[in-house]
Amino acid sequence: MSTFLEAHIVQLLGEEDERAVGLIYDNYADTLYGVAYKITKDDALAQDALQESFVKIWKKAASYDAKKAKLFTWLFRITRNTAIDKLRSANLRDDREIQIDISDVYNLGTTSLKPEHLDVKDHIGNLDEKYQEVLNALFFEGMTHQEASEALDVPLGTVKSRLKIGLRELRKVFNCFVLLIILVL
Amino acid sequence: MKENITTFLASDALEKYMLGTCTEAEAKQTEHYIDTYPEVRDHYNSMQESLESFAQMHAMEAPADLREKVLSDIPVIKVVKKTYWMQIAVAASVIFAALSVFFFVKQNNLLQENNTISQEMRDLKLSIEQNNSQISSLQNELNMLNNPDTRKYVLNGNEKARELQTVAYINTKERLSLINVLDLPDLPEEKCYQMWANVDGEMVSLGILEINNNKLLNLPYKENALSYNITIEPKGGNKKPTEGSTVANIAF
Repeated sequence: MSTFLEAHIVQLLGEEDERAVGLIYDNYADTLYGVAYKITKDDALAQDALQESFVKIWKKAASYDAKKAKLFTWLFRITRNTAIDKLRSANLRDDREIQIDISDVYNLGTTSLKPEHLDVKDHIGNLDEKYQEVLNALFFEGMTHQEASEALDVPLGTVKSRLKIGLRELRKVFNCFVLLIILVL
Repeated sequence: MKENITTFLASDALEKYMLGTCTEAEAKQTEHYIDTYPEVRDHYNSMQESLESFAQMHAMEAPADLREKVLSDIPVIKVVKKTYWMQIAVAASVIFAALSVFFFVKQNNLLQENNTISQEMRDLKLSIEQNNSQISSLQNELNMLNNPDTRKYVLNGNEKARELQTVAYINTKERLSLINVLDLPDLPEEKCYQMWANVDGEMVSLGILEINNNKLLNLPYKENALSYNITIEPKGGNKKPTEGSTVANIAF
């Protein structure tokens, strides 16, 4: 997301200008829908979660503090928590056996991914699976560190370190991708 | 201090803070570290970018009709209305203020115009009254002059004031007397011309004479006047005519 566009959206949010919602949807909806779907693994629930998330985003617009979190981080938190709540209220989680299947990362929505994301997605393969497992569990499965430790059958310390290294490696992958685009352009 | 930062970064505080899963106390402590140490802030920013990248990798195209559903759920009408009404209110205020100023100025102009017209009307009325009065006065003078009982007397100056020339009109029936001073020779500043009537041998003052541009002056009518006389007297007039000062006289 360009810094300029993000700053513009943040300004509109601060002014409680409804155009902010349209801009957020146009620029973040696919990513947030992916988040909601990864958590709920259900189209209807993901749509409900996204709808409810946007209502919350609008209602909390005045409370957003750009100093505390980037816009996407704030949007992600709201969508993630809403999707987890949806999942819990649907009583799906109790029956669901936590699946940490890395294939989700590759298979879900492959055909519906936007072209600009496909290129990024190609580079996720460079990230070691053990890091992706942890990132998925924590970011998309709504697990705590302890739950991830139990689900992945690795010590709690390992979950924490894999999360850190995973984020760091992800950053490297992303930077390489950006550099590649710059070189191509 | 460096150890503290290292320990903090080694913990999962930043990750929990980023996901919003920490307690309020943990959040405050994390915000303190982020605000205080640039190293922690950079790390936090880097993590946020990683999170966004990771999430983008899992992006899915949202259903086509979802956008409309999402936006229809947003209670934006309030804002739209607020803005709309605010704009109307501002516009109305501006128009009201402009109209107020316009009408205020207009009213002031009208009041001023009204005062001017009233004053002009008063002046015209006064002028008409004055004209009517003059016409009436002239009419009276004309009536008197045309009256068959009015006698005209020309008073010419003697050798002391040869240029003196006056005409007197006297109507004994109507008890009126008028005088038209045509010319009076110049006198020293301390002197003036005074008119007298000889009534039964006694000289009665009729007033000081001045050139009056062919205008008729009323003279006090004296019954049984035997003659009219003009004398040169000290400025301001005299109670009795100075002997030997007569410059013109006419006997009836």
